[in-house]
Amino acid sequence: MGKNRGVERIASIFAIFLLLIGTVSTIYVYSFREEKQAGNAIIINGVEYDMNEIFSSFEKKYINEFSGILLSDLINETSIQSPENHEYAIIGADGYTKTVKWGDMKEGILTNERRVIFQNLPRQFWIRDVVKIEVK
Amino acid sequence: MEKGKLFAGIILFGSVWGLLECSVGDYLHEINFLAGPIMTGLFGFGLMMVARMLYQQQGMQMGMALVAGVLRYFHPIGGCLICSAIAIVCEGVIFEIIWYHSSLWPDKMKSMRMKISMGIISGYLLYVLGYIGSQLITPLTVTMIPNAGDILGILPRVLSDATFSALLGGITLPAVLTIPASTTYIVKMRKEVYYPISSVITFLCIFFILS
Repeated sequence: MGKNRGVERIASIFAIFLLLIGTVSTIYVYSFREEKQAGNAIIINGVEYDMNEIFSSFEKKYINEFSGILLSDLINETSIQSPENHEYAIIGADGYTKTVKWGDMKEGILTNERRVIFQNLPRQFWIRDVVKIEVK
Repeated sequence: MEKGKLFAGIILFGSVWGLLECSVGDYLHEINFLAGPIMTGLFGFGLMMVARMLYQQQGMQMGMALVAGVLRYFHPIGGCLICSAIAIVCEGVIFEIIWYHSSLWPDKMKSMRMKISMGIISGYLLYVLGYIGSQLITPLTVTMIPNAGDILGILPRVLSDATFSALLGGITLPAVLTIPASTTYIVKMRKEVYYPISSVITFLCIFFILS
């Protein structure tokens, strides 16, 4: 009986601890999201680009039912030297991040709804609400 | 437990889980409403717990998850099929680890506090570890190495979403444990009744998933 009480107490404390972690994470995620959603800009390698300008300057490509501009075109437009030697971290408003290689950037598009879609990668690599692309 | 009946049970419960993932799960994904936490904390965990209660067999839930994962993968419609399939299989493995010790088996849990706590712990850990498992394994399927920085970046969101799964788990477990022990007669049915019924339900689930 005493042993059961002990297990019960540990389980309760652990459950409360997990709920606390979840609550703190929720507060963190929502404060982070608000900060990132300001404006109609996308940050590429530390420089802000206007989404409307970007979409008026590049030719549209199609992947299945999605249309957008090639990620490689976007990178080529920046001052990044030897883009094939870098990796690219694509970051969503909620912090969801995926790091891909140059070969993948040539197969991916950024849609007008700020979604990144890849032809060659599983959907786990598709990112909503993209706010930033970091060059590594 | 007769091996044939156990095997049929694994296929049956796995198919039902697969069907729920491909129907309710897809719908929740489409309307962008907590698909992962609901599918894990309510349906996945609930079905594994019902199966554990009825069959009282360790390892069965991992088999169910494998069946559900394979069916999810071959479902022709939906989001990231491979990631969902991997996450489901991970959930089965994690369930087996959490519920390994016999003192935690459903029939041994008497107090409501313990039931709610174990439901919360299961819901939370199944979601977090299933999600991270799929993030680690999916890149390997396209010969990419998972990026530790990416996983750290999504951790706050995963830990946050898991709260819903935990709360659902805290409701699901006490609810499942209200099922009277006498329902285990389903498993003890005569072979002539048990096999045809489980085969028909399994066939219907697989038919709906693949069609």
